[in-house]
Amino acid sequence: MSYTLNQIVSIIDNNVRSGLAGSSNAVYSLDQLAAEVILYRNTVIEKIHQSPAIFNVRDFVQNFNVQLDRRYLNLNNEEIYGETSELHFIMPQPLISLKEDSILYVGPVSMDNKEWKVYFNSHQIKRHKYRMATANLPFVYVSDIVNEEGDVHCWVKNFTGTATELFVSVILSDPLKILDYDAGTEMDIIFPASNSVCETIIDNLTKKYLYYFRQLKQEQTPNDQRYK
Amino acid sequence: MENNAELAKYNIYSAQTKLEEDWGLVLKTPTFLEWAYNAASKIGFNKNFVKIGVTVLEDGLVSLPFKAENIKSVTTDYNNFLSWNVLNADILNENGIPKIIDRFGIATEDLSLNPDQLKGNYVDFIFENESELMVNPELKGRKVYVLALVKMVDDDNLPLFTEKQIEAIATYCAYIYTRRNAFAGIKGLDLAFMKSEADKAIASARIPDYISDNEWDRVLDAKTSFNRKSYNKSFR
Repeated sequence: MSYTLNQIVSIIDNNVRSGLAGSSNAVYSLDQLAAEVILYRNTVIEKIHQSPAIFNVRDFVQNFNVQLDRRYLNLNNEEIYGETSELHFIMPQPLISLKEDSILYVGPVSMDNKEWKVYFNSHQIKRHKYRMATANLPFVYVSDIVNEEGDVHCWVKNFTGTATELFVSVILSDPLKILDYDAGTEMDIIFPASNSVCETIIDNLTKKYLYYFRQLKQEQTPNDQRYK
Repeated sequence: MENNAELAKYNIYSAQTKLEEDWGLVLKTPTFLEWAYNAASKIGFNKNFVKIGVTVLEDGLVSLPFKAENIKSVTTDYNNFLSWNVLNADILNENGIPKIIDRFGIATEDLSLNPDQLKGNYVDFIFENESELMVNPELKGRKVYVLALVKMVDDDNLPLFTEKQIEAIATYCAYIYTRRNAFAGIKGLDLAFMKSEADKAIASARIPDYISDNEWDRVLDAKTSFNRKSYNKSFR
């Protein structure tokens, strides 16, 4: 079964309200809860990424097409990259702590089993030409600077074909950013997490909220204007 | 490979599918290619001999119309080629040299009867890059005969391998994966076990399943300095 973000938030909310019934009237924002669900998802991914046996990248990726344009790439003011405009696209920030594992596929829309190498480090792209087997294949440089809209700039190099758009399959840092790509509405996009991860999120966030609100629950004292 | 009894019919991506099916590893293509070429260079690419006659250009430049992996010999005829044996007078060119169309569709003038040997005098050469040689500039205008080894590739220019070589490439990639995980501190299979598996597979891939009689003939010719047909036999 697949969950939407709203369903997960609703389940946690119901759990917490049932658990606190009769002991506290905690008030919290559902938006904040949604933000915490996304944050907790990213944390869980980072943890299970260390265990290749249970980490399946396909559970977490989101797929969309990006439009190609041209933009100057200037790395450290070096002439070799600063002179000409390069193929360029914008995409939401990937979950950068997974490094290259955060991007499952970037390449032609035809997906002919030849995904391109992805670099996050500007020094690495200068060494691409020294690769022994794949020096002539295209590659992508994903800048680590996030703009004000939460997007990152990416450049395609070594590409000799013609393309107006690329297909991208990536673990996004904020899954809702896919809404920028006409992927549906917030209500109906599937939350990109496996069932076990959804269960972990629901379980742990419920526990956290119950624990916080029970701990913070203060005794009601009458206002009798006396020192206690 | 000349006289090879085995058919190299799988391209390098067969090893990627083998890796997915046998080891459950899904690698990204650029990473796989790097590892696979590394493995293939340990096993040895399958290569074919190509013989070609080329005219020496300015400054002793010899331009090859293909990408050579190794050069076996470079010779020139000087003035004595007319005295050599010729195979078939019907396909001789105006100089009395037999014409052969090689696998690249290039008409070559093959002087040799032995497939991996060219007659004539050896010429010193420098292997500049995969399609260029340098010889003595004084040879400008003369024809040199180059015997080169080129990789066996398919229509997409991908190297071809036999079944055992594909198996070895997949095993080697699994070993590299284990090694990377070990360096990253991720628990996995025993590194020593994987190393021995990879070494075994690579050693096995270097041995052909079957050796043709033609190849045996060449091997025995090289190994015996006398007529091997009389070896250990009395013809008295």
